[in-house]
Amino acid sequence: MDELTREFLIESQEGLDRMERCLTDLESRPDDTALLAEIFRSVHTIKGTTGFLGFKRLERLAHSGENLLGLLRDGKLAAEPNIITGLLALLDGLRSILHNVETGEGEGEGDDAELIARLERLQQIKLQKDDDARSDEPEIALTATQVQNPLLRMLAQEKAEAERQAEAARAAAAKSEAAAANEPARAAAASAAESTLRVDVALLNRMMNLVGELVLTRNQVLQATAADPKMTLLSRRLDMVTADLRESVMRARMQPVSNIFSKMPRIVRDVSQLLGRKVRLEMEGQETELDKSLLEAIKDPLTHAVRNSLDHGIELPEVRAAAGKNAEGTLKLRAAQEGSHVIIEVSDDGAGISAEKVRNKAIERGLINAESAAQLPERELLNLIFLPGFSTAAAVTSVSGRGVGMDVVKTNVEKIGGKVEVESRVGKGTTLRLRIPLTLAIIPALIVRTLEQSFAVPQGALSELVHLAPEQLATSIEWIENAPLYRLRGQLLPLVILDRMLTADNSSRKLEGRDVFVAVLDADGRRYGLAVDGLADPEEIVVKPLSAVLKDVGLYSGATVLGNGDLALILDPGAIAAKAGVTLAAEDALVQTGAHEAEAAGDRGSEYLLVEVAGRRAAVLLNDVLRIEQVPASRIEYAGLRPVLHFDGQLLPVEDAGGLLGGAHSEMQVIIVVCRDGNRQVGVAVTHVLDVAAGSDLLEAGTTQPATGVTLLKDHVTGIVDLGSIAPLPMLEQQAAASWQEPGPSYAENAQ
Amino acid sequence: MRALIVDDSRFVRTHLRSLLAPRGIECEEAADGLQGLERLHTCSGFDLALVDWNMPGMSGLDMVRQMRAEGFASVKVLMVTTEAENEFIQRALDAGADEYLMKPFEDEALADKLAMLGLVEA
Repeated sequence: MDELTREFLIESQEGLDRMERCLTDLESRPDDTALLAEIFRSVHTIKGTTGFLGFKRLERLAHSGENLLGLLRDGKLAAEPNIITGLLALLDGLRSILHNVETGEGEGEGDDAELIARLERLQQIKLQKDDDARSDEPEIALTATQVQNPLLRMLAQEKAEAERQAEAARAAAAKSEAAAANEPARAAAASAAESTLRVDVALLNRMMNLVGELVLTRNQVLQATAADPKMTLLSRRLDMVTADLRESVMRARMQPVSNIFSKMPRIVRDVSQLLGRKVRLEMEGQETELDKSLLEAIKDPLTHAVRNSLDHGIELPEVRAAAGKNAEGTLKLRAAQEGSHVIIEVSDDGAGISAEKVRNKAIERGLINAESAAQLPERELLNLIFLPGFSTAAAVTSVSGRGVGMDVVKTNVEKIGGKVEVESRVGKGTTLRLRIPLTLAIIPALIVRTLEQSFAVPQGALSELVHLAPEQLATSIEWIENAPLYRLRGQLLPLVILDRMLTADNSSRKLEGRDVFVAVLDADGRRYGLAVDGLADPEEIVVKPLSAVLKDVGLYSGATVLGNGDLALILDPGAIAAKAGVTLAAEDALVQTGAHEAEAAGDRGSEYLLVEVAGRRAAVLLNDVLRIEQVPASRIEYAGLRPVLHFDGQLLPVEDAGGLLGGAHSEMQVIIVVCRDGNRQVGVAVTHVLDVAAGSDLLEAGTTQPATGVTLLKDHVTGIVDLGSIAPLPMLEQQAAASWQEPGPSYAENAQ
Repeated sequence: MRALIVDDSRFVRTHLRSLLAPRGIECEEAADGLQGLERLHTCSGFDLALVDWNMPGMSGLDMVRQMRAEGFASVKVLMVTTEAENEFIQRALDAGADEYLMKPFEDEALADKLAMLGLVEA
């Protein structure tokens, strides 16, 4: 494609995107002449430029659209819903031709006669009204049938044209006055345009690859010079510059999420009209930026989530009114950066998801059996909506059906290293939260060793690590036929033994007499343990594509060079699970086995992280624990008298019940348990992490109420740390935290 | 020779530049009427302005009127637009344009107009 055609496509697509935004705004402000002028200009520009390239179809379609828009712009016609719908059809028509041009097949074969006729009919609605009003000119009073007469139509158009010109002259005069008033603002906009530059994405990709190479070299330099004090300063400088450069190049590839958010008003409008919903769309954090390729990858999942909210979340107006809610539902899209992730939330104030219904439906579809379903806690029940096959048949509508379920949302988001969570309250609404990594090219990974080789496991899939001493193997690993299962806190997990898989050696004796490390992985809805020979440090790795030969093996997602110069293949946790036959159905069976275990062990309550704080035992609900961090005491800072930890780009208030931080020397390491408390994160300073164990509820003497704040852990009554009581940071300090985020990533990197 | 291209379409600006540059004409660009006037004020020595009619903010017609009111008599103005009716051509000429070129145009049509303005040899 030549340069000029490409320029034309970019400009036209930008124009149509602008038109789309204006059209959705136009619905709420149908009299806004600035919007109408903007829409007119988008189509006018296409009409004006398309002739240079000889695109006749585009020119004809744009021309008929321009006529209609001219009437709207000049106030001859009101922007009524059917006209807006017609203009949206015009937008789609123009887009589809542009798409054909872009894919190199010319304008394509389609016939626009119908659309053009429709646009003309919309113009004549006006003529008819206009002329009805003017009874002194009965001879040009046109009806829809008469307008079929070409002569009459010409007459009408001429008349409209004359009026349009008179109007245009008036409008132009008014416009130039307005423009003069806006002069300073316009000058500012112009200078902003001059300070930006278009860059070919291919060039950016190449820059990103080169930066990747630099990161690898840096890793090697850091390892090689670690022992040489003369080199330390230099290599630290190299480290910092590399981190900054990486950050800058990544930023150059970023685009605001408004690029995809801006498509949503149209979708919400169309879908809610189709389904008879009344919906107000709120969007927040549109300026949040994300890597271009990731942005494209989440477009479909996000669209699907929005459609799903409208279809299954927000109720019909009369249902809402009956439930005492505002007849108009609210759909909220929110984007925000949290550390190295971007969070995108789709929340509605609709009916919510009933865990009971999910349970019944999952059983009905044969995704889970009744006994295991009964054992699942509510939180996990909701996650069943992400199982393939959950939303089919009965749920297929033209809106969220299409044979696509929430499983596709989950799979697509996981494909780019992201995560999906759902929260719902019956009658109140549902929130779907997508956690997307900022970039794909450089990811944190755990390096594991097997068969004397290093492999990288993406951190995103890793949920925990367990060390098994040789004497523990017999009790914690069970064999069912030839398949090993690992018993993790009373639940059986399928175990994939990496060297067995790589060597295709099925002997079951391989694990005997040595230390085994089990990485518990979550991938594509499957949970399993990966047994390896050893663990090395976590490392930031640069993902390199694989040659076709290795790609066909199907176990690896890429390759990388480690800090010590070794090559390592990056394991693909989802593919390994599939290859090893870890199926969702298998997990179903396991839940059941686990349930039996639970019964045998008596009534088990929630699981807790058992810690020691200055000589006393305490428990933190395991579900709340995000990470356990060992940090130098010097990283603990003070906001007023309150200790805070700068972690993952955020400030966490730290609970220091044992007074551990007060006497700490700066070179001392302290252990902070990072926990989730509702929407915020908090830290708890502890002396040691002892264990993970299931707690049993204690009944308060003389009552049947479980005592709050304590649990029975390993036969000891243990106090539960009350995360909610940790005082929040004052407002001012929160803002300071936001402005701290700038140097965040490089700081975090240096700390590693 | 120096020309000022005033058009809100980047495509048209690029296209015009690609047609003018081989004739040894150096081009400056502006995206609307106000920017066009600003260029006239800040850069001197323009022999020709190619001005689009329909632009956001200040239209081409207003820009031409304004620049003629301020002087700039030595700058020839070629109105480049899609409006086809005689009345529009008349209004452009009344505002102070010297010639009128219909979009889309061929290279030869542009060459003819440049010759009519006495800027290049016919």
